[in-house]
Amino acid sequence: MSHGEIRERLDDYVDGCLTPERQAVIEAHLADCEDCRREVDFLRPLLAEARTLPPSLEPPTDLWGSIQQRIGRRRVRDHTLWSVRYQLAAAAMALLLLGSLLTVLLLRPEPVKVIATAPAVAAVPGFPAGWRETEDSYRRAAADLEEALAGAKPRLAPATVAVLERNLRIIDDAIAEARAALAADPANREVLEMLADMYAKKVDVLQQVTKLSAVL
Amino acid sequence: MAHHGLRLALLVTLAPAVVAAQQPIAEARSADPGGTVKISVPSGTVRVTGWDRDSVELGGTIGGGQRLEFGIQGRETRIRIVPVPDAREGGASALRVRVPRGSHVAIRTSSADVNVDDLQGAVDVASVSGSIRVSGNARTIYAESAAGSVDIEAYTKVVRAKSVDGAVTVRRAAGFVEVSTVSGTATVMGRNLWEGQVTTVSGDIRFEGGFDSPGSFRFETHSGAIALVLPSSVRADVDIVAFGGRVESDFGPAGARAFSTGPDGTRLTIKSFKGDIRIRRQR
Repeated sequence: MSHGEIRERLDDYVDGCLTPERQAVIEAHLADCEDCRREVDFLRPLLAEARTLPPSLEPPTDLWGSIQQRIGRRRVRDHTLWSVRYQLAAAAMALLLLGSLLTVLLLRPEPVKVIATAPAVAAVPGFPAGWRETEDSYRRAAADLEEALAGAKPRLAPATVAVLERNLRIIDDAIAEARAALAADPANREVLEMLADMYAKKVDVLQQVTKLSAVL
Repeated sequence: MAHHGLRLALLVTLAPAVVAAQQPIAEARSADPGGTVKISVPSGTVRVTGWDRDSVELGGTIGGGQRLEFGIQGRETRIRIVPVPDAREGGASALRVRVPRGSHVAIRTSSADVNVDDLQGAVDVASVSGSIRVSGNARTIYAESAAGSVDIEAYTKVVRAKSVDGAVTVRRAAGFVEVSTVSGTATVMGRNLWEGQVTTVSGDIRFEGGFDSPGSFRFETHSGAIALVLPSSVRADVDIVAFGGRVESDFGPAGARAFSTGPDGTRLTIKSFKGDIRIRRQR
């Protein structure tokens, strides 16, 4: 193998997923090539560290703390950022709650008839028990974020606003299709999951855009 | 009162340089080789490259009606392009920044395009409408743009890349990968992937790569097409959920929606509401 080919395989070498023959070829090359030895020295601790990471992805570490605090202090005076933060926090809490609600909903063996008062969305006969409350929670979270985003729109370029609105319509159309499919087959838990995923996507996108628009 | 003191200290430390029209800049400051570099640019371009020196070097041009703040506090270097008060318009800046290779770098832009290369620390980029490109061996990469594309080519164990409208591409992925877009195409190529998810609403999903079993990976779209190319030897427990689209797979019994290709495999969940799903064998 050439130096370049070996270089391409160093990550696999460090990962220990090469055949013994290729492993031997690379070890022979490493004995003579200081450049590749340095690359291996860099990759080893990286891999070891990455292996200790939690099994699920967490939101990014905020490297922006003090600048955000400064922005925050400035904007608290005109109540803008506080509103955004409140709405983001409220939406995040709503999402946590929704996760739990959905789990309970999906694990429930038999649908139970629930009489709800003043539903925010039209009740569909046959929908799983508890789904209406879950859907209302999603919609409230999305509405909070849409309100925050409306406040941020003057800071965004018209073309960006148009792009965001088009994509939110795409999500709304997907929600409507999944909802119609669930209405036709209320016992289908896979459709229910996909509908919940679409609602979660909408909240996630709104969170992302609201957060981004408040950054600068 | 404390806030007044802090503000004054920041102003003195950051020593802003007011620029009346588009002007070249060339400045350098010593920096911690493992410190944090925070860069904020509203519009234009930002190119950040790692190097082997313990300093941050800044070059390029600042747009008209903008001023530069370039300062260091402890282990943190801050570079900000901000509008001059009462300026008629904010011109685009073109920044070239060289930072110690082990720096953690955070970049925020409104519409500026971002290019990051050759860093080994954490990279965190967020833009409203700018495109983002990251290459090299950064420790972790978080990149998100609302309306721009995100393109990552890096041997990095943790990658999180998101867009709303733009395409998101991750190449040389390994470890944890999360890719999300609404209408853009999501593409992931990598090896030894442990865990992750690739999701869109109407955008297509393309994946080519292998997994480090056991782990779990989820591909989900509403109406986009999903095309996966997997090694012949892949060990996976595959679960396909599809309602409207066609499903074709080189693996498992014909027409099967749930099958295993080997023991202790990666759990692969593939969901599409109405897009086609194709799983091909790598050639």
